[in-house]
Amino acid sequence: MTQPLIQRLTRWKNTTIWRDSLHIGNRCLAATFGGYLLSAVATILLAQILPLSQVDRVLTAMMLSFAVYTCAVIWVFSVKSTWRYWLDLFTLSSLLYLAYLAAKAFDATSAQGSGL
Amino acid sequence: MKDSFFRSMTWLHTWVGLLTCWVLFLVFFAGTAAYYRAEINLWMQPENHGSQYDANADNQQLILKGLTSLAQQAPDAESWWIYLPTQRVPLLTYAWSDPAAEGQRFGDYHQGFINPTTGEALPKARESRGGDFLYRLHFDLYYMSVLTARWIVGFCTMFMLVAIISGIVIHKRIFKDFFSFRPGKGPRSWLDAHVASSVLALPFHLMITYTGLVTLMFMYMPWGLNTQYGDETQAFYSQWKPIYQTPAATGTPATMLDSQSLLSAIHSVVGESPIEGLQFDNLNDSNASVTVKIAPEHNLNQQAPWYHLSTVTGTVLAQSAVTSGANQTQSAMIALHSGRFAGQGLRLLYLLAGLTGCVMIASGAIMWAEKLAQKQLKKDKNHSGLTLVNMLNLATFAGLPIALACYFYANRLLPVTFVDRENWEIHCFFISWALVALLACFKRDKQTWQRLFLLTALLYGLLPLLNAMTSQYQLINNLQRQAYVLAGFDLMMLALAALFYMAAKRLRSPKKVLATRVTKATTELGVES
Repeated sequence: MTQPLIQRLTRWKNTTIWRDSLHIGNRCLAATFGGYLLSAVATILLAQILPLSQVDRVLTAMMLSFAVYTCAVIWVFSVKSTWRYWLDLFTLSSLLYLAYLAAKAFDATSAQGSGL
Repeated sequence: MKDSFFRSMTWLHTWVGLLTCWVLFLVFFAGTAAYYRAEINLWMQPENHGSQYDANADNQQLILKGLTSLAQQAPDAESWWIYLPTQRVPLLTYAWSDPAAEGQRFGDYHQGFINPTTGEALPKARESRGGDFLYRLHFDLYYMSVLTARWIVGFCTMFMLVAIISGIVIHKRIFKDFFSFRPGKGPRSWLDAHVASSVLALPFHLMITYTGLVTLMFMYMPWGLNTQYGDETQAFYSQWKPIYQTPAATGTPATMLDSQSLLSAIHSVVGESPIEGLQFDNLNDSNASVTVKIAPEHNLNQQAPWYHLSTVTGTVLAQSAVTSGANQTQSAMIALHSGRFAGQGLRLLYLLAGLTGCVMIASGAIMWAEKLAQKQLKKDKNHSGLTLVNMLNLATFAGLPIALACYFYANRLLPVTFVDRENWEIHCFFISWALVALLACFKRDKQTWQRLFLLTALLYGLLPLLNAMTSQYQLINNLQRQAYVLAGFDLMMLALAALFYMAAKRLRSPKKVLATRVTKATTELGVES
């Protein structure tokens, strides 16, 4: 009872239950939104680079996206370190997006070249 | 590392499963029933029960009948449809839509039926959504916006896929456990039931979950389409599904060919291929056209041939071509999910697999509750989470079958002239469900489960009797005149009644067995009682 008020009010921060739910909540957020981000970018990339016609690329990439999502969720929940999966998800997504931009630029120039 | 991977996967499987199980049960339950959508539609409109399928019927004559009725009843409609009778739908269906009113995308839709054997128009059937309600409930839910519902269902489906994959990962002895069933042992038995129902139909569960996501992928994952086509998504759709690309109306009025010349024009193009249905667009316009759809064969590639014909000149405007691999894969996935290609034998397997899915979800959730109850007995502490889960379990797993039965009862017991009838049938579904949920707030013990199952068995068991009293044709009669769709419905209800009766009996027996056996297993019984 002699504890200062602030300390008493913030005591819950040190409980294991709070720390556990923080980790779990964090992982759930990463799995749901990070996983979606990764699969969306993977779809965008695949729709650009698959060696098929444009309609088929879009369809195939869409159909595969849910497999990517599943793998991402499983992976988020199997990594040990806490913040690592956020970093990895963002890095991987950015790399895939850069790859998409590069492939698009490459396709645009080669299309121009063949047009000339 | 390996051990912690198993542990995190177990954790993932448990929690993902628990959080989504009640929505998933609804989706599975309604989806399984929707495999018999056409049969339920027929049963729920007893005015049409007299109609029967005749394999030797003259389709030309039937189409003519449909065209005559449409020309009489809806000369100013926007579109017409004619569907020829099939085994599952022994009716000649004609339908039309009014021109869209201001601010609407589509006009109102109307339909009428003709008895294919007598050629007489059937009296206007009672208003009922029939099996279509269950089909929509399966992914649109109810009492909420369609978009919200589809996101909720999509989210739960995605995590069902995660639960299945993680479930496979944590299951080290998948083969051995498949052959073990230890009844009357509390959580262990529920685990065995969960494993058996999961593994038995595992390919189905995986397939149905993944293809379910694919059916709505344009909503869930449109990003590839957006980056590839930008604002010109119409170009994508016209290449992907050219059947929907009918020429736009010109606004110049024109008269349609007379029915006979139109039919011979169609015949010269289609030949002897069996026609499934016809769709007339831009009626009374110079660009008026008809889409002739050939009946799909019983195979996975549902892309049956089709033709666009001008109804003013009778010439072919466009026709189906062989589609690409990705296109066929996608349509095969949809076919696998909806099972429209399935004959009656395969349809029955779809039903069994769907029911197995329901058992998988329910046994998983009950197992969770039983395990926690066991832990609590040791610690002698009450857990509010457990109460909530038990409540939701009873309300969902026992409530939904009762709600479906009440939906069927409402169909026959609500007066035909009842205002807003078709919606009130659905309200009855939800009211009876809510009543079970209310009961679940107060009583959740084993006896309540047992009594609800007995009630369910009684409700389903009496449905053939209700049908006999409210339709001109009853079970024996239907078997005699080989109306297998209607007879099959009644037999299915009796089978369900037997199933629930057996479940109710099972719930009672372990108590007796355990009472005579002085083991510590007695502790496993007390869920909350």
